[in-house]
Amino acid sequence: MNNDVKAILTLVIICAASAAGLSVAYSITSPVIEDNRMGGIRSAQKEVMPAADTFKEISDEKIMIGGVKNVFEASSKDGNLIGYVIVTEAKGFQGGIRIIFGADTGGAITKVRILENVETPGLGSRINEEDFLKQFEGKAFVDDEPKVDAITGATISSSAVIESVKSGLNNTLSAVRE
Amino acid sequence: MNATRDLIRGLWEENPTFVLMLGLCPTLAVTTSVVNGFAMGVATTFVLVSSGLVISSIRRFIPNEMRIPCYIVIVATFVTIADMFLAAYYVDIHKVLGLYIPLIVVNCIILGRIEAFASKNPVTNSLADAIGIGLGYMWALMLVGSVREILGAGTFLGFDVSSGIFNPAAAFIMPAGAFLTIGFMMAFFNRMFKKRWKTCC
Repeated sequence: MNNDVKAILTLVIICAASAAGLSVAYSITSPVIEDNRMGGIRSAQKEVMPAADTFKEISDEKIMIGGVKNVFEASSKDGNLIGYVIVTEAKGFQGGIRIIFGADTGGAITKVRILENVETPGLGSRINEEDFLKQFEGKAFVDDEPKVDAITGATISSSAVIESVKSGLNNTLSAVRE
Repeated sequence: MNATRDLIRGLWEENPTFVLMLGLCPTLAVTTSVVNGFAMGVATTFVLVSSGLVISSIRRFIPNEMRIPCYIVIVATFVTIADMFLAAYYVDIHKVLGLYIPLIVVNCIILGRIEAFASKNPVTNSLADAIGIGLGYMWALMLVGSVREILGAGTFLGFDVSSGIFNPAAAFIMPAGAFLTIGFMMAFFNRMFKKRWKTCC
């Protein structure tokens, strides 16, 4: 009996110390981690939509479906809405792929960039390469399906990106046009 | 002087990768480049050292029948801390290592050294043992990472070393390349350092 109480107490004390340590580490790192993620998005916004000057996040539950994580309205210097910057998460070969891309109001893609991925180095991770990503530019994935060549040996990663861009774009456009 | 011996032992005689053959799963998975091997080695060493220190200093208070849950909570705490700090301050490395950082919790090296050493020895020796094993693991990861990065991607620490000399074989950064590399290295280490190989089996 006495031994049981001692065993329980020891584990409780260790867990409490662990929780205390973790909450300290969390409070130190979580703002930095969130900043890193938003910083990554912010620096990529301008890259995928060079013509835009200001980006305003829209938080509409109707848009945040099917892997869409953030949507920003992109406006030019004189305040006209010229398109959208969309952040989506796709299911890749080994984990999530976070994608950011810009599209004009008509649905034509300006640029696609990969924010985060854990694909196989040398194969799936080649979705980061310009040869693959520039195929999206100028294409509208709205009605017909334009052709984007997948990367040899990385069909799953490639089609994850293609599908995510397509569905993210369509979700966003249909939501904002309502 | 005992502590010095504990430290050196992990580097060669009881090298976790090539001799003890522990923690091979992350070894196979993250050694696609030298930098990844180094980062994984640092993270694992951090967890080894800090959990070894804590456990050896409270080893008298942990009831024998409750030791595994206690060890796991302590190890998991340090792994989570390492994961958070990498995500906050070394974003690129965290991106590459991804899931393998949280998986340090189940790395056999950690629990193995705690159970075999830190839970039975004084703090100084446990510290020496953890550092030795950690460094032994780190250099093994970096060695495997160098071979795979040079042969598989044609680069070393990101610098091109292959153009005009040979074409990198992508197989070496695939899992098969990891098995090949580690297999050859183990054969080499057995030949060179394992004096016991004649008497064994």
